[in-house]
Amino acid sequence: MLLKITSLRVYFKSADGFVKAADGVDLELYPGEILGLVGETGSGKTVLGLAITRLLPKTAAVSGEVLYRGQNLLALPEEEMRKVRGRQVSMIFQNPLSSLNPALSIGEQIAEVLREHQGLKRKAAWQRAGELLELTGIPAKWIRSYPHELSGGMRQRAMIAIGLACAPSLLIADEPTRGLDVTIQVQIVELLHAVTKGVSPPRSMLLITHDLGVAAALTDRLAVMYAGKIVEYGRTAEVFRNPRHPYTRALLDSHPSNGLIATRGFSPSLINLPPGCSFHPRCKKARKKCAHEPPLVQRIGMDHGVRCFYA
Amino acid sequence: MYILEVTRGKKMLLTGSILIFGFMALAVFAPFIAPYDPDDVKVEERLLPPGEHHLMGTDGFGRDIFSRVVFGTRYSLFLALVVVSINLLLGLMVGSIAGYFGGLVDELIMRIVDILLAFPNIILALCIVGVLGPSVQNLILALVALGWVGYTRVSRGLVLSIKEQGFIGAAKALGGSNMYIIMRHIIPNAFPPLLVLATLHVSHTILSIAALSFLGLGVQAPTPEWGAMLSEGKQFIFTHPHVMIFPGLAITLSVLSFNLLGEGLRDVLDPRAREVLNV
Repeated sequence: MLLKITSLRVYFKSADGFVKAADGVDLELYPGEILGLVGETGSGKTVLGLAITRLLPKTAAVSGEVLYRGQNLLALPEEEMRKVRGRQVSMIFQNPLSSLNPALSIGEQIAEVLREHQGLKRKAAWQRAGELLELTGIPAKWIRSYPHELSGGMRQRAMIAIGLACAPSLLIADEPTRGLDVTIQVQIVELLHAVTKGVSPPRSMLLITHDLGVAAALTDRLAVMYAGKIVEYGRTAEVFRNPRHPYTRALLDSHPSNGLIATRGFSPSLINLPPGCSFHPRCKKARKKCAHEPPLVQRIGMDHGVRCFYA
Repeated sequence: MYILEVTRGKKMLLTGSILIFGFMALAVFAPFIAPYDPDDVKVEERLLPPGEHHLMGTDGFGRDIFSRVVFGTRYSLFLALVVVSINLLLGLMVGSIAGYFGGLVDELIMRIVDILLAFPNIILALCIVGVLGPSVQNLILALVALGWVGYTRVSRGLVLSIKEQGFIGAAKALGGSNMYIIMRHIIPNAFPPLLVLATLHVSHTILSIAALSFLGLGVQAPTPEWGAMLSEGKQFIFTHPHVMIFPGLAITLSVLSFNLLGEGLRDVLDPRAREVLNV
C-alpha cells in the first residue's frame, strides 16, 4: 500500500466554531492506482489533498495518520517533509495561471525544480526541462515562453511537467481540468493517463474532481466525499453501476446524461453539521434513526463500502 | 522588439535614458572629452568667463570648469549608483525575510525600520560623517545607514501580497526550501516596482551627496565633485556666478534625467499606475 489515511481530521477554528473540513477520513491508495475523490464544492476534497502534503495554513488543526510507504507524514519534521514534496508526492493545482510564476519562463520553472531537488547543472536541467515539456505535449522550442504567452491548456500541461519533474511516485491532482474547454479537458485527461498508467512502473494518482466524467475516464477506484466524510468508496465501475449511498446516487443523477436531476437542499455548513447522518436533511430515504445516529461505514462487497444504514 | 515598441510613445523614458547614457559616456570617456586636466591650477587664468578656450570658464584657481564638471560625473553618478544598489539589495533582502516569515522576525525588523525612519535623514548622515570623519567610504555608509529602510518597508509590503499567490503554494508543494522560494519566486516578482523606486531614488541620492559635499562632509575639496564645486564657488556667487551655475546645472540635469527614467519605467512596467495617477 502506497498511502493509507486513517481517521484524518482537519478542523479550522473560526469565530463561529470549528469548521470540520475533514472529519474522520479513511482512504487507501495502492501503488499504480488512480483514486478519484469526488464531491461537491466545499466537501473538503482540496483540504484533504493539502493535508497529505501538509500545506495547510498553520491555523488548521490536523489529527489522524497519513502513512506514505509506512511513514507517518503528519509526524515528519518539516525539513524531511520538504524532501517528500515534489520528489515523492507532487501536486498539480487547479488554475495554472496563478500557480505558475509570472516572472519566470516555463523552462526556468522546471529547470529550477530539477536544480533544487536533483542538483542538476544548468545545462542538464534545461535539457531535461525540454524533454519534460515534449513529454507533456509542449514543443520544446517554447521552453522560453512565459505563462501569459500560453493558452489555458498549455499552462496546465506546463504545470503537469513541473509536477513530474522529480519523478514522484504519487501525484495529487486538484481539479486539473477546471476552467478548460471540453476538448482541452479530454487532452489533459489523456495526458494524465499517459503519465500515470503509461509509465513503468505505473504511477499512483489521487485525482480530486467534481467532474464525474473525468473521474469515470481516469480512475480505478472512487471515493465520494460529503461534508468532510467519505460516504462511499469502491471500484469506479462498481460505484457507477451500483451506487449505494443516496448521495452518490443523487450525484450521478445530477449529471446531464442522467437527466440533470437536482438534489433538494444545500450542502450543510461545515461549522454546524446536522446531527446523525450529515446527508439526512436532503435524503429521500432518511428515516428517524438517521437524524440521531451517525452511520458507520458498512462493507457491502469486495472493496465497496458505504456510510449509510439503509444502503 | 517588444521593449522598443513600448518605449516608442514613452518620451520620458527615452529622454531620461538618452540623458543618462550621455552622463555615463561623459563619466567613462572623461579623459578624452575634458580639454584640460581638472586639477590643473593656473592662477593667471582664474575666474575667466565662459568663452572660446574655456567652455564654462574657469574657477577661483584657474581650473577649467567644463573639465571639472565632466570628471565630476564620475563621482556623482558612481557614488549615487553604488549607494542606491546597496540600499536596494539590502532592503530587498531584509524586507523579503520580514514579509515572508512574518511573526516575531517581522515584528523585530519592522520596529527597527520604524525607529530608523524616525531619524531625519540628513542629520544622521551629518552625525555619522562628523564622528567618523569625512571620506568617500563614510559618505556611502552615512547614506546606506538610513537608505535601506525605505526599500525594506516597500519590499515587505510587496512580499506580503506575493506570498499569498498560487505559485508560491505550488513551489512549496514541490518541496521548495524557504531560501529557494524567496530567491527564485518572491524576489523576481518584487523587483520591477522596486527598480522604479530605486531609479527615482538615484536623483535623491545625487542631491544628498552634493549636499553633504557642499557642507564639506562628503567628497573633499580638490576632487571635482559637483557639490564640492558649488561649495568652492559660493564665494564668487555675486561676482562670477558661472563658477556655481555650471556644476549646479549638471546636478539639476542629472537629477532630472533619473526622474524622467524612473517615471518612464513606471509607465512601462505598470501601465495602470499612470492612469490612476493622472486622474
